[in-house]
Amino acid sequence: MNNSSLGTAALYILLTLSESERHGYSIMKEVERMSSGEVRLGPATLYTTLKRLLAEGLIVEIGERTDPTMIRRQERRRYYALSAQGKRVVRQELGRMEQLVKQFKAKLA
Amino acid sequence: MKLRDQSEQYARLFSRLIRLYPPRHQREYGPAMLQLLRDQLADAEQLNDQHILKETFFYALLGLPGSWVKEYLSVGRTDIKQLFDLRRPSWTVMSVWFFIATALYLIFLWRSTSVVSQTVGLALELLAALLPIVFTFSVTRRLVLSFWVLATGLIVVGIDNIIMAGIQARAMGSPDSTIVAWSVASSVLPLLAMYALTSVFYLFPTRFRRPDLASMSPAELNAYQQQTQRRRARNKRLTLAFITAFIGLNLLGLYDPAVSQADLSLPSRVVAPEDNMHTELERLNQETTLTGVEETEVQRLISGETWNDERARDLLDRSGQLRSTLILASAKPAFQDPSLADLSSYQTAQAAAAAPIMRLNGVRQASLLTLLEAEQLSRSGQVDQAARRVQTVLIVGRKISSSQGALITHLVGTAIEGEGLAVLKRLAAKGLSEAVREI
Repeated sequence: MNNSSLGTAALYILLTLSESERHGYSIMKEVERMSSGEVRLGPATLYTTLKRLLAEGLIVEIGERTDPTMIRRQERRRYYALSAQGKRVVRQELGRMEQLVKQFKAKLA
Repeated sequence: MKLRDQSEQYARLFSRLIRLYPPRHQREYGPAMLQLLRDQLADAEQLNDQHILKETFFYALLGLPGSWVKEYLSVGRTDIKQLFDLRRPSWTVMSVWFFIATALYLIFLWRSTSVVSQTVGLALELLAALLPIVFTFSVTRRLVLSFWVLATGLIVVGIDNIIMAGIQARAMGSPDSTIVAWSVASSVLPLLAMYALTSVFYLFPTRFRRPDLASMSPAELNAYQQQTQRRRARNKRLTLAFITAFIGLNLLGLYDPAVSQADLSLPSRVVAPEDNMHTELERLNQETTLTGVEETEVQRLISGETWNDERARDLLDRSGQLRSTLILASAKPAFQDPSLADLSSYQTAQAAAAAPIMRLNGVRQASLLTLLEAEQLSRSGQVDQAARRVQTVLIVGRKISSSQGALITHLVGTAIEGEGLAVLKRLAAKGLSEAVREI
């Protein structure tokens, strides 16, 4: 797929899932933490993006289970994980970004 | 209000807003979205800060509009793919299609400047109309967008028609709002209706008030899904029929029939000898009395530049027969040169070369002398009688100019009419009776 069409929200979601499988709220919190509060995903944006990433085969749904760390720990939550294709896309995207940073640094130097 | 109650109120409101999503998205992600918001609100409650609770809810609301739009567009794309059972062709195939369509369009532009048969013209126009569809589809791979591009083009044509209607209404001196209104009604409103209806069919394939799917039992959900599928299938059939009929009608509306050889030919018309003023005009040619110098003199007298009553009377005394013949000619219903009556024996372009052109000097002189008589009558205060003489000249001139003869014949008729109108204008300034005005 074309990386330039990935979008900030989608890229952050893929990055959070590259560490471990997560449910929606966990993804949202992790994205906020990773971006130092710069990127805040609401339920609407998060699930629209998750749906797109699922359709593109970059992530997979791996079932439902409870999360003991949550306040409402008794509720079952859907978990998502990065697919093999998703891992490839993340690597490509990070490589592209590194290349960009190198180029910009070289220009500035 | 307690934070817990406020939180519950926010969750209920959000639950209602989730119902505005397309049913599929609502069913698959609605509960998860609501659960996520409840988690967020529960975290905010722990901080015991009403401001944070409000902020959390505000951010949740902020993402909704964009998400709604994306989901409905996604539904539209899915539906249209199913509707037309589209297979994405390769870029090569689409490029070939594009070049073929462009070539056909260029051929159409070239051919439309010359005379083509109606069938070929219509076929080329239809192919040319496919160009924007093929082009847009090759770029976007979205057939619905392709049709909308075509519709947009038709709207531009409609707006152009409205502007032209406005200009025409202005030129006519009486801005006619009905013309503009009809242009709008006939060209733009159906297109807007197409946009509206297709939008409704695609974006709201089930119904506007959506039930709370999350609270339905499996049996209810199953019944609802079956009902929705039936309604969706019906809407697809209707939409397909609507788009096809609409575009077909618009293409027919745009179709401007090509000029055929028959359009260039004059309709065959044979004037019966008893209705034809040709005999009288031939007689006028034989009775021609004025020399070239005298003809100029008569023209000066008619124009009123100089007036010599004695000279006018002399000229009129000599031409009594001529003027009587002209009156007889004007009583005949039409004029036709018998040598040009059977148009099938002539090629239109060769008519002037092949046929002998009738002399009209006598008619011209008789007309001038009749106008001289009118001028004399007018000067003696008999304005109405003068107007009737002019009327005779006008009738003869009009019948000659509309006789479908050679160009020179038409020009002579027009000149006679013009001279008559000039005199009539001067008479009108002097005052005509009501009866003559009506004539």
